[in-house]
Amino acid sequence: MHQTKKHSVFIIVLLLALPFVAGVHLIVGQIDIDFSDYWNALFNFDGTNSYDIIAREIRIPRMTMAILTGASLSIAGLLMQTLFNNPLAGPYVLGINSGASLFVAFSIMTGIPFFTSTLGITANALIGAFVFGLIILFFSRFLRAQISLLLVGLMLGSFTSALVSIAQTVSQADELKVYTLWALGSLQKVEFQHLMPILGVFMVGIVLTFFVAKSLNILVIGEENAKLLGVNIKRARLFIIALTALFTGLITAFCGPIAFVGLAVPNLVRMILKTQSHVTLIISSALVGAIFILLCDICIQLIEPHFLIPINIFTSLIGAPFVVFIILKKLR
Amino acid sequence: MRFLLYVLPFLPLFGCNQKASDEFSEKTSGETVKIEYATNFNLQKTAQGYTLEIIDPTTGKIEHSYNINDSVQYDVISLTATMNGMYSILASHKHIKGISSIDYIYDPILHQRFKDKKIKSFGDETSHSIEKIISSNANTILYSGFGDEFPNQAKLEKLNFTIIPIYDWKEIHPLGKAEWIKVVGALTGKMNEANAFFEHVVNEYKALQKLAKNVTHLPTSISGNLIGDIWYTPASESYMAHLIKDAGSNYRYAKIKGGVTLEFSIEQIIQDNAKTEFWINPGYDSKAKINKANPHAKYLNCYYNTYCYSPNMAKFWERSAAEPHYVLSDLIHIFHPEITEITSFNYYEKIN
Repeated sequence: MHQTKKHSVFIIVLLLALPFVAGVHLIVGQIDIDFSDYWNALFNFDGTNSYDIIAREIRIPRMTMAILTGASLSIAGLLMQTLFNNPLAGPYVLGINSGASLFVAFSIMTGIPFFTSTLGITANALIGAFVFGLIILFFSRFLRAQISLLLVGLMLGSFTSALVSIAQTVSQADELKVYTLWALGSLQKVEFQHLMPILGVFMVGIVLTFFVAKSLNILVIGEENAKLLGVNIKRARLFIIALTALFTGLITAFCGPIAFVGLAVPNLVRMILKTQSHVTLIISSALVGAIFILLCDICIQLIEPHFLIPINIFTSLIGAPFVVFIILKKLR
Repeated sequence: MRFLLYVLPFLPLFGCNQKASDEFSEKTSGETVKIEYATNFNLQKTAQGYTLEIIDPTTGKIEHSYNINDSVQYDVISLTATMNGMYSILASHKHIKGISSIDYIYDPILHQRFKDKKIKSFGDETSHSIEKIISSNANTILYSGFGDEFPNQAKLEKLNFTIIPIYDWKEIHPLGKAEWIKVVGALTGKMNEANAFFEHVVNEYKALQKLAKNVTHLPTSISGNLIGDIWYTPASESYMAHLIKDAGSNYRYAKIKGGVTLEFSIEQIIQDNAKTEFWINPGYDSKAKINKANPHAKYLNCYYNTYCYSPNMAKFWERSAAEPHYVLSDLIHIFHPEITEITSFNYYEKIN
């Protein structure tokens, strides 16, 4: 009872903190944008007013994508960690991002217009993430040590990098440019008009994730025990992989590959809450992930007048030491 | 062929120059060849040919020194587009044995020679095969000098390769960039032709500059585009900013000093350029491509008024360094269509 209360308080604090941090994110930047600009941007938009444009087309999409990126990648990481019973699992280290990147690279470099469209890139990122999820799932059947699966993920990452490099050497300059720009990653490429469909897909993913929360709770005690408790393991695995692909592919398609969030955030949440309740973990990971990316992006915007850092570089700077900390903690 | 078009009108003058130049060479053996605008190389006439000194653009100190011997044929692997253009202008295609990639070549003669297997592609500076270089017919490598040294430089020098970094891209003055044709002149034994061509370029450039000086309105302009989250645009003391100024435009970032390139966030660009009239060099040749790379571009006034121009990439990179007067002419035509003396574009085109 005490634990449940602690979890509820934690989630309420996060729910209060999220709009506050999002508000700070909206006002931080080189250009001073006030509340009236946001009001006008949403309800009285003037396409010739630079303040309206910055508010509606840059700040709001950037803030929204920061929230969705943090939440999606954290949930994807949580799903993988539970599925593989491995605290070091995550969409980036297991090569799910690499799968999305590889499919996007190949589709762009075909030069076929559909594949370079937003829809084409999104579809390919989702398929790539799902295929690589299945590959990891396949290898996981043969591996016992937790570290072995990570090594397979690492190898998948190296293998896809090599394939992408080969594709780059034979591709035309235009396609190469499109891929390079996509791979740089950005939270601000998304346009205001695209936010609703992205948000819609994200919400579908969230709802479906709650459907598997019960299976995830049981998976924690091991697959054999889960089978005895009536969980259809094969179906649950495929469903979890599909959800992971949905979250990872969606974000990779629009923001490029972003490292370490999916690995670090669920671990941080588990360390704080010390629970195996996946409803709590899903909500908390999503909120902590969203706040984490918002804070990272606020830092980026604060140092922007001096030098510009891409979001994926910044998350790596913070996430990598944290992952080393987790590994050291586990080794002890 | 194109070289002849440049040179034919000057043939009488050219003949005199040839003689004068020979006399000058004899008299000034060991003296510095006149370099008016370029800052990153020196040339000295010697009894055997020339001494070429490459100057480090950052420190201003001599980085490399080469003895170019008139009796040696310098066959090159040219990994810089601008040098390819200068070899083409001096009709010295036969000296090019290697390029980085045929995809970036404009000159039809180079394309034909590539088809005839007289030219091979070697990849860029970082991804070449050393054995392929050794087995080529070349004895000289021209590269951009982005890094400190050419990869495997020591090994290649032991095999008697001459490796020359080309810092034309670090020249600030457009005519300084064009003056690098004198390096090609020294390497190909065509210094007189190089001098004549450069003199022609200087005269044309100055005449155009004068034309643009008489305008009453200086329209505002920006250059560059987003790469990732960063908008890269030329600094005020850069080559492109120099051209924009000479073409009679008020470059939006003309007052910000330092470096070759400036970096801005998209927010800053939108804020600063609400009323900017022209956008040049967006890096793409269609609005569809611009929209894909930078979906916020449509909120720039210059985008809506379709004043975006983009160069024909391969042609531009290969020839524009040697032909800054053509670039200047294009920019004047963009910024001042009222000037009736210029009626067409050389490199640029309007983006639709």
